[in-house]
Amino acid sequence: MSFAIETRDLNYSYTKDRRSVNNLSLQVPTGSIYGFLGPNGAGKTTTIRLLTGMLLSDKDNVFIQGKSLQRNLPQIFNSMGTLIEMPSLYLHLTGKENLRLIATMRGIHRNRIDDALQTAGLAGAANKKTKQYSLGMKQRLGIAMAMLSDPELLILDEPANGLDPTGIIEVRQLLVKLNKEQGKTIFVSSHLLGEVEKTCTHIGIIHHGIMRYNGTLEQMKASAYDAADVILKVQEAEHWLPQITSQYPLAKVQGRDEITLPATSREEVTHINQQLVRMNIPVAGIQLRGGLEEWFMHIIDQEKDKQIL
Amino acid sequence: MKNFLATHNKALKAEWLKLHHSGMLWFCLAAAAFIPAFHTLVSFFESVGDLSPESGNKMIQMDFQIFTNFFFPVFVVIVVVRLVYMEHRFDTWKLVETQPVSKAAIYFSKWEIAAFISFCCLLTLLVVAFLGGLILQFGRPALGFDQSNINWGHALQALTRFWIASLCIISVQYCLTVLLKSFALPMSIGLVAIFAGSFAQALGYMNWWPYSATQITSDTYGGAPNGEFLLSHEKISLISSLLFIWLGYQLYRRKSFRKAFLSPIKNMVVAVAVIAVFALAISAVNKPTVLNRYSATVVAGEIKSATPIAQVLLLRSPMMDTVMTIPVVNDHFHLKTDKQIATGIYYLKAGSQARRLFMGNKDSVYVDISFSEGEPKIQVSGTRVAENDYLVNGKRTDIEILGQYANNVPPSNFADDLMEYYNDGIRALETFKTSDRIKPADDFIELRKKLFATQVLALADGVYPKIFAAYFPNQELQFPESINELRAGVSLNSPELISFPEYRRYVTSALREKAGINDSLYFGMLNDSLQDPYTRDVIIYEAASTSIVRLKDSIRRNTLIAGILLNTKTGIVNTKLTEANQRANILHGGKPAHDFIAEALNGKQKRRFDFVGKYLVVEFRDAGCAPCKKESPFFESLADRLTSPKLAFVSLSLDEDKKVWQTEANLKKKTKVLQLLSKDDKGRISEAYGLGISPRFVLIDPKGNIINPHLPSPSEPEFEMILQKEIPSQGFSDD
Repeated sequence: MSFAIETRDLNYSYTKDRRSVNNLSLQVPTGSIYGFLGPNGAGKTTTIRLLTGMLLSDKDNVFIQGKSLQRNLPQIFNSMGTLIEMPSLYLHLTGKENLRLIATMRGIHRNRIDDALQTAGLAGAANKKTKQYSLGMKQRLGIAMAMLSDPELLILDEPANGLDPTGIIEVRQLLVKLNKEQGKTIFVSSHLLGEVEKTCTHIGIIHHGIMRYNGTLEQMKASAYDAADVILKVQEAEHWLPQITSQYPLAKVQGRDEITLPATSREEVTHINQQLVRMNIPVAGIQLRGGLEEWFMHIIDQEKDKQIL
Repeated sequence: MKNFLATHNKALKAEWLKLHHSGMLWFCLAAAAFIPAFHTLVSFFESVGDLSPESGNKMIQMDFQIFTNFFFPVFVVIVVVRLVYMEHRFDTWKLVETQPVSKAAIYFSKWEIAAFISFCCLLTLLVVAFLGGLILQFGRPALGFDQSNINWGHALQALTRFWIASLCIISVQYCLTVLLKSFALPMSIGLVAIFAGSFAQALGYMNWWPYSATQITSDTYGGAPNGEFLLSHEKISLISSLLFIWLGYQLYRRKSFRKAFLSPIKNMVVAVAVIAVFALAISAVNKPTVLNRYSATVVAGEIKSATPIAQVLLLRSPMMDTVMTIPVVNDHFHLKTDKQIATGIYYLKAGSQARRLFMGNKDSVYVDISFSEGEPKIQVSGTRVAENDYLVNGKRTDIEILGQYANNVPPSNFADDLMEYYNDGIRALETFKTSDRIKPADDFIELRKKLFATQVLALADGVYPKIFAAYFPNQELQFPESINELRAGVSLNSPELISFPEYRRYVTSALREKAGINDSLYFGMLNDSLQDPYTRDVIIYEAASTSIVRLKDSIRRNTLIAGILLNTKTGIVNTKLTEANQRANILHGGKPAHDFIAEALNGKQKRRFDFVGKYLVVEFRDAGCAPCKKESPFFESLADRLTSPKLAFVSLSLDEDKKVWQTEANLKKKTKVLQLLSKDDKGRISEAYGLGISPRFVLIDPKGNIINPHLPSPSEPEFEMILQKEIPSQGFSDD
């Protein structure tokens, strides 16, 4: 399997005592849409800066399409388009001029600029200074600039930031289309799980600079399911708890009327239901709580627990 | 490097695109056009000065100098900070850095744009100054711009030099802005450096490199004396520019000072090595050189003059005896000789102009003389360029003034003051460099040191003892050791110093102090104390010249001179002394004054003869001389007050250029002084009235005989006192 991006034990620290990126190994398969997840301050942007050569790690351990990043700067950008954090635009220039700037540096013919403006839905504002653009327009222009040279690999840092719901859907559709029709590899970072879940084929989760998870969406969904909880709605939960713990030692009272116990599979939920009926416990409802959101929070919580310990 | 070359053009084009709508080019245009445009406007209201073919060049020079002294470095700082901050502001660095363009190309192309804007700015200034000249040519022909030729070669050289001087400012400011990543901080540092630098430099303390670079170029607008295209500070600007581009690039590429220069240790070693290499290169360029002597003594040069000049003379100071006569062929002169000449002060005389020169054996001196309308320009180059530059531009320590403030000052304090002046002078001498960093040779420095000592001793031994005797009557004069040490270094017998007036003044004042007012004792002491015959004769001649002017009684004067002539053996001294005495006899003896011929402003001819029947006060002057300009108003106000039909005031100009005289005389039409331009031969009238330094004031009686050939300056009260005394009071209508 070839990787569009691969890092091997990537480290980076801004200050001496704290590593912002800690032994990060990340594999982005060619042709995938890779969702790079993590809460704010997890090290996403630092990682992206390392992947784009804006920060250089001490060792030669970033590989783009199998080639060393450090040894192939700056030609490597011929096959890579980036959008890092907020779109950085020259605000005193018009949208068209910003694109022309990129076209000049990438040696692209000018007639591509109008197409790019059309695609980004900015044809009407092409000759307006970007100072007057709304945040969404700026974001779209940023994406247009990243895609202008039609690169094999797109690295987009929070591309949906600042877009309205329609805009978000448009970007999502665009990414899927680029991936499906043109086979482009897209690396998207986000702190919104739902966003990633809807578009990505592969997921990576970073927290406190450490890679917490790296795999396909399906694998992730499976794992997420593994970590699901069964929630029992029972009146006077405390009263019934000892009976339940005799069977399920991990059960806990959650609220006045709720008991949770971990479930590892769908079969187990059915089994639990039968058991409760047998024990004559007046269950008002059974709920399965899980999915990515839970799982994601779970991973981050684990981390928190570790820190507290 | 390969990446840099391959992507440089793309990066540069992108930088160019970024200037759109940034207002930078308008800013450049406005900054550059402001001064010449203002200058042009002001010129419409200016009074007409000297007409000269240099008008155009002068205008360009002035505009350049005003601009580059202060505004230009400020402009450069603003441009650089804006260019860099453009990227900092919305962090567009990350946009350009993720393009297939090398970081070095990104960094350097921004520098190139700054350098380009700096160049455009200077070019705009030159063009606007030139256009201003054209506008004045048609708008105000009286200023004479139509006759001016612009020396484009020199103007473009100046432009290039200013540009090169600005490069280092660009590089340093660029580096600073990348390091500080803000707008206000690097901007204020740059501006403060320029302000502080220009104050510090004006006070003579230090030069605030590199922010002072364009100021230094402005001060040396004429260029390198040795004809090199760049002065050393401009070469240093180029070299240090490279260094700061490298340093700035490291900062930029590694994003922080620590990562660029401190860790890992390898970066630190590289940085230290690079800085060391550049420091060596800079110190090599900066190092003053001392020129070697030549294989023979050569005096050569070039004369540009409308009237042909057949020969130039090398005269030895102070007797002005001709040492060399050099024919001028095709406006050039050249003489190579093995004849021994003493090291000292000479005068190179060409036509009416003489240029003071310091030279000696095995010196090759080149003198470029150009007579245009207006003031002649004389430039000296060759092996003694630094020495001659020092004599013209070296820091003057006006030690004489200490004598005027010595009243009631005890000897130790007076000695301290003297030593302070002495040490200042020595320091200035030892650190003196020409703008192209040539130092005076050691023999010159030795001579000058001795001369400083003679200046100190002239005051300590010649002036101070009288003051001391008056204020501390019961004490014995005892100077501290410092003065005695100086005394050990220099003696009355220093024939090598004879061509310097400081030495002669020292000898005469020291011996005059010992001898008192007794002339025969004084001359006897001069004769006995000085061993070298030539030195002795020259000093005696100078002392005698003062006595000749002072002694009005011709019998006493003739006796004194006859006595002196018995002892002096030097031919030229004897001849000159005899002549001077004869002249004094003519002037002082109530003899008829020379009948000058002159032209008045209305074009009519006037002679001295026309004033017979009136007392006549004549001012002899030149339009160019500064003391004349100072004394004239006093002379004119006196003429206004002392009105009498029996008294006439005349200002007789010896100018060769009628236009120059007219311009100045026209301004004085309303005064009671009659403005005349001499039609006599300059040499003849100078001899007839014993003229030396302008201005001179002569009083002639109604019969046409000289009453006083040497009136004091009109600014001094004695002037009026003499007039009141000599002219019968009924002659005045009032006062």
